[in-house]
Amino acid sequence: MTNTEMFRTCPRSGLQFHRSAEGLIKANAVAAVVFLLVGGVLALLIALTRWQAVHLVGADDFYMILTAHGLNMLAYWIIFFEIAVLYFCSSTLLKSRLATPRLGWLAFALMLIGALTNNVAVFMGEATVMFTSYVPLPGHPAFYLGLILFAVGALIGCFIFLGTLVVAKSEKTYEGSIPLVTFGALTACIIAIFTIAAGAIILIPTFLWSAGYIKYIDPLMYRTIWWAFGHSWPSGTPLPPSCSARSPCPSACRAARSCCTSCSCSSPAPITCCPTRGCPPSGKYSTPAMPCTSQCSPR
Amino acid sequence: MSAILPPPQRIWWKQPLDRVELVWIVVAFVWCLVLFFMMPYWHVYGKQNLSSETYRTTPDAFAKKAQAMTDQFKVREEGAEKTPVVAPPAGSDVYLIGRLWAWWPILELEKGKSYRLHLTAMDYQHGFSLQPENINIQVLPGYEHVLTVTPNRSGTYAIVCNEFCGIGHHKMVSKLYVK
Repeated sequence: MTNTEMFRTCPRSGLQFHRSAEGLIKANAVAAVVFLLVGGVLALLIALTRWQAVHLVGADDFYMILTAHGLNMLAYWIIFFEIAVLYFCSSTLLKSRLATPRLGWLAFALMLIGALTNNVAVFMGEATVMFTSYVPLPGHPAFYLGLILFAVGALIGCFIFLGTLVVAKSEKTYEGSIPLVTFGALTACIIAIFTIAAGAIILIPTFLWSAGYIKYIDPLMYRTIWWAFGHSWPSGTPLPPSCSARSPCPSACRAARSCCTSCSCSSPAPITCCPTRGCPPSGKYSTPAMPCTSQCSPR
Repeated sequence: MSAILPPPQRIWWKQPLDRVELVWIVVAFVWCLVLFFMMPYWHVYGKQNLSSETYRTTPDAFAKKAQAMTDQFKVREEGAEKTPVVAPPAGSDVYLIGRLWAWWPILELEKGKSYRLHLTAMDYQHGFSLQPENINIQVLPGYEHVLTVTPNRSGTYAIVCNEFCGIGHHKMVSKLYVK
């Protein structure tokens, strides 16, 4: 293939684009700003709710919107855009072909499918667990699975960036040192690999836990590792039962927007509880002097 | 030199440094040092970061201790839930439970006396936030967090949950009395 077929010189900037890379850069950047738009609209709804004079949505929807806002802004917008920047800084600035463009599309597909899966789980009202999703607050397995797919896709993107640096070096597309911006992108890429891997490491067992294959995830361990998801320097007891871990969650409960299911509170009688859009911990409040809270009304 | 082009000279770091660049490097480096040393300094002298002890526990074991304290030192009940108000003796171990969606019981402490405050969550993670003092600690299920507290101002404080714990999270508010 000749140079003119593989590359295009932008008439305005004079930058030389590898055609395969250009498509990937566009796709990732467009996905990024679309998620930014979604997150921004949700931010508006949040602001109009916090503004007491308007108080737009109820608690139920507010927490759901807040969860989706956090994920779209802090994960999908930022990381999609980072992948676009990584491809640009390696391929375009070094005048090099992008390593493995096909894998690049696989990475993009994984990220997009993951982000959409996660968003669907949240907007179905089955994973109102905030961006942090601290265990044992239960979310639908699709919530964690979506995040894992997204993380794997992003990691592939990071390695394509590193691969492109190797290609550019060996094919001598530049002389001497890499440009300052590419150096910055390399730093960002190294941090991204650490942090996204940390996210995947803690979310994989959490996914298995939410699907019922793992009985217990230590909340302190979860919190510590989860915070390494996005931060490069992060800071065995009987299980507080959650339905998803100990007994299968009734599907009616999962489907219901405001989950109402019975929990075995011995005082004064079996009661109806609406703790979250998941299943409530059951049988914990058996001490007569500690009746269930007001949200639990006698049946 | 453009940031998007490779440096024109291979050994670019031996070129003389511009004065402005040097000034900025020094400013940034000094600021990094300030931030770095502020972290340990603020932890020790900032009177904001809690040095809590953390132990493993179970909801049942903790509830038993909280129940025993409540049975022994209950002075009255408050609110629609008839939440017990407990006035434990100075210097004793006091227990506070966070659960969906309440703090239990209500504590009544004495000004100037020290207490060992034990916290746990029965179900999901909760956040103990004492207002308006703004003392905060994440309360995890399966763990017992212990703080030594000495109230220095009498009055009624609010305890709010500041970690999302489900649909009734914003209703999880309570009080703490200091006499």
